[in-house]
Formats: sequence, structure tokens, C-alpha cells
Amino acid sequence: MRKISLSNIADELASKSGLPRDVADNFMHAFVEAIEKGLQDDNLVKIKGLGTFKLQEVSDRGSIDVNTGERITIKGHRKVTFTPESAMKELVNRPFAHFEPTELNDGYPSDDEPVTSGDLADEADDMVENAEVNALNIAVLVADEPHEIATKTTPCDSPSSPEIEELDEERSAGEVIAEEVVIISGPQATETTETTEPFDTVVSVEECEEEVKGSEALEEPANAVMEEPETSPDEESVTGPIEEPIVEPAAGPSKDTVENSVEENKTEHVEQQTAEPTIPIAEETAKKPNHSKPEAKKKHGFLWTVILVLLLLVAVFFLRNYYFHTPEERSFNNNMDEYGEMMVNPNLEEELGMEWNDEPKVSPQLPTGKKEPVKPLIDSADAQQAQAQTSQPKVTPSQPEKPSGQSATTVKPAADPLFCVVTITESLAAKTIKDITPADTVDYRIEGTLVTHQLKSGETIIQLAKKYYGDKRLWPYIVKYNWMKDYNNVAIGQMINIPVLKDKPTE
Amino acid sequence: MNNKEFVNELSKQTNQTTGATTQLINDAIKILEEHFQQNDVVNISSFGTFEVKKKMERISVNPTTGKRYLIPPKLVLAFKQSNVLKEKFNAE
Repeated sequence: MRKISLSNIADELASKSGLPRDVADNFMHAFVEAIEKGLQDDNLVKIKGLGTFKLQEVSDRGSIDVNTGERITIKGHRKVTFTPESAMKELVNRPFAHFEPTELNDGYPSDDEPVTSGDLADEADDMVENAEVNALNIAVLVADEPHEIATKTTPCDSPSSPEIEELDEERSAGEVIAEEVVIISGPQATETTETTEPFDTVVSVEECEEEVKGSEALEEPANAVMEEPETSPDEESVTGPIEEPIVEPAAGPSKDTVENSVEENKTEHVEQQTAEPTIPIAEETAKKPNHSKPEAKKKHGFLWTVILVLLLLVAVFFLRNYYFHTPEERSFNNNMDEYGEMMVNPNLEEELGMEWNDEPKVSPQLPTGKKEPVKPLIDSADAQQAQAQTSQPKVTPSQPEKPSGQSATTVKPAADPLFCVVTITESLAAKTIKDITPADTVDYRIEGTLVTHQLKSGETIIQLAKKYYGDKRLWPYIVKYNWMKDYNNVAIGQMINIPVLKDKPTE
Repeated sequence: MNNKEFVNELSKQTNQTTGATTQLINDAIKILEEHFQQNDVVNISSFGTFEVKKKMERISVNPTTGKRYLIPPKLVLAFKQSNVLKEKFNAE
């Protein structure tokens, strides 16, 4: 980094060419003068091996005096520019010649990470809500008919089946499986307890659940995952109808053994009947794989307990509501109306309905068989009845209703599985609607400044939009309001005016 | 003024043949190049300074495709005219 003057070059030129020093010095001065003369004559001098000198016009421009802050105009003038020849350029740049422009694929990882994590949290919330919706559906459906128990299990499967997918892909071992067992057995627990509550065999049911859990846990991970969700609907369908008719005449003492045997039956039935219920589940999971994976991952430590608790609470709550306030059919009609509006995929519903219609063919016979014995049970087993009333007073009033609605129940079975499928599609549809609906489809107008934000390290405009509007997609308004030319390149400490956004009046 | 005219002009001023002048010009440019490669600042009084400047690497976006590129650092030969030269051409 030495400073070289013209005389130094003249010295070197003298030693290189063998000329006397003063001649070389003269030559260099003549060299410079020739350039100046050439610029004077035709504003351009090209020197081979060095580059091009040009005399360029610079027009007037406004500026601000650095010291006084006054506006001044810099007068137009002419200036000498120099453009090195390409050979000269390459020679100068030789130390860095091996560098080449590289494309960047990573985008803005630092910008999006906090945002996406928020989205994941949102999805987790959605999942919880979904679980609630499922529980709601279950609770609403609980009391009416035995085959509904089978239908109830399908919404319960819908949250659990995504995990199966995840497992198939990731092959993560025992922990997740254990969770699934709990999750699946959770709905079972609520339903089985509900169904058996009148008979006061809660204890035995719990025992059965434990047995179910144990037996399932003993199985190999992959097999367990595949079988558990399948067993659950069938178990319910079997336990529901079979349990009750057998239990009612037997009245108590043999329940444990009965249910054990029922469980054995279940496992047998599973392999026979699995094909039908698994198909709709597979279809649903195929439609919502994106949500299920992150949700399932998030859920590991925490969500399943939440779901369990929520299911229990909501089920009990709605049970009470249902029994005290609404007759069966009205609630059904209401629900049908609600869900009918929400329906998005009628094709799916039809497909599922077709498949589900096969199964309930068994069930219409069962309610008649079941409900008639219910009365004698109530009449005869007074002691049991008293216990049942003390433990579950809400349930008993419903029992007289069942026989009265018997004529209706024979009609319903065809509709109910359909309805169940509708509820599934509804919950899925609600989710998709929530995800798809973009907030910036609404136009906003900017009305004044909400606040002036000073950018801190690590903040982006998108994050500001997320912070102030709760929606990262509204960042263009901030950019527009601040007349930002390069919103990808903002400085720490830069002041950003956050505009107030008002809904645009619809014209 | 192209290279040929420049050589003629210079040979006229130094009273030498064009061939000898071309040789000398090439020698002078060789010397300049050597200095540029050593990052020397060549200051020609009453004319200007030649300096090799380092441009830092930067991220550039192709506006049509939206792709982002990392432009590597590079060394650039820059010329800044002296005030004498500036006034000479803006005298009127």
C-alpha cells in the first residue's frame, strides 16, 4: 500500500527500458498530457492495455450542506472517468478470481422460524379444539342407542389415527405407542363407563380397560399401532350390544367374567370386521396428513392428558345437558342441521355412509333386544338401581325414554352412522376452513399512525406485522406506509411507523 | 482519441518513432500493473489517482426470478480525478 508518484514510475521505466532518467520522466509527463489533450479534443482517450478515459457531463443536482443543513445545488460540471480494460480488470481482481456468485436457497430462515413456531402452536390449539369437538359429538351421541357407541368411537379414532401415520413413517418406539394406548383407551373409558353406568359395573369396566391396555401394550409396536384403533370401534360395537343384554338379566355378579369374555370376542371380531371402519379412517388421515404430523409431535408429553381430561369433562357435561333438557330426536335434528351446513365434502360422506351402512345392519335388532330388558332391570333390581342412582342420577331418567323412542330408533340406525361420518367431516372441514381463510383477503385502508416502532436486533417487518396485527401477512401495509424501498434490508434502530388499519367499506 | 491516435500524439510530443513510443507505453503500463497488483496507490499529480479498491461481498436478488445470489468480494481499479484536472475542464 505504498503511494507511488509519477516520478517513481519514471524511475522504474528508465531502469526497465534503459532510457536516461530525464527522458523517461519527460515521457511520463508527455503521457499524461497526451491523455489530457485527447480528453480536451474529443472527450475520450482509449489506451490499449490500460483502459478508457472519458470526460462526462454531470448535471445539476440538489443536495444539503452537511454543516448548515441548507439546501444547495451542486452545479453541473464535467468529470474525468476511467474504465479499466477487461484484461486490466481481471489482472487487478486476480486474488479474488476464484470466487463465483452462488445462489442462496435458504431464504430467510431467521425471519420465519418464530412465526412458524407460532403457527405450530396454533395448530396444536386447533387440535385441542378438534378433540373437544369430537368429545362433544361423542357426548351428544352417547345415550341413544347401542350401535351409536360404535359410531362414537370413530371420531375418537380420528385424532389417534394421525399418530398411526406418524408412527408408520418414523417408527418411533414404545413411548408414543404407550401414549396412543392411553389416548385410545381414554375415549373407551368414557364411553364404556357411560354405557355401563346404569349397571353400576364401573369397577369391572376399569379392570377391563386395564386389561385392554395391558394386552395391547404387550403386542409389538407396529402391530399394536395397527390393531388398537381398529379394535376400538369393534370393541365398542361388541361391548355395547353384547354387554348390555347379557348383563341385564344376569344382574351384576357375573359382569366381570362376561366382559372378559366379551373382550376375547372383541379381538376375534376385530380381524373379521376391521376392513370397513379402517377405510374411512384411512381416507380422512390421507386428507389431513400435514396437520397430524406436527400435532402429533407436539402432543407427546402433554396433549393426550389434556384430551383425556377434556373428553371426560365435556362428556359428563353434555350428558347432563342432554338428559335433562333435550329429547333425543330434537338434539339429533339440531345437530344434523348444524353439521349439514358445515359439510364440505359430500362425496366423502356418501362413500363413508355406504361403508357404514353395512355395519349397522346388526344394530337395529340389538336395540329392541336391549331396551326391553332395560325395564325389567329397573323394576327388579332395586338395590342396584339405588346404587346406580346415587352414582349417576342423571342417567336414570333417560332410561324410560329409550323404550318410548324405540320406534324412532329402528329408523335411526341407517341415519346415525351417516351422521357420525358427517360429524367427522365437519370437524375436519372446520379445521381446513380455519387454515385456508386468508386474513388479507379483506382490504384495509390506512388511517394514521398506530405507534412508531424502533427496530431492534433480529426484528423484521413481517414480525412487526405479526406483533401489531397478529397476522404476518399484513406486512405490505407497513412497507407501504413507510415508503420503504428495500424492506429486506432494514437497519437496527430504524423507526417504523405502524399504520392503523381499518376495514375497507364494501362498495 | 483511440489508441493509434494516442500513440501518434505521444510520439509527436516526445520526438520519437511510434514503434518506440508503443514500446514505452507498454512498459509504462506494465509498471502500473505491477503496482496495482501490489495494491499501491498511484498518484499522478495534477491528473488523478489510481487505486485498487476492495468491494465487499453482497447479496443480490434477481428481480425477475426472485432468486438471491451471494456476489463474492472483488478488487476494482478506481480512478479519481484531481482537483487540478477538474478545474481545468470546468474553467469556462
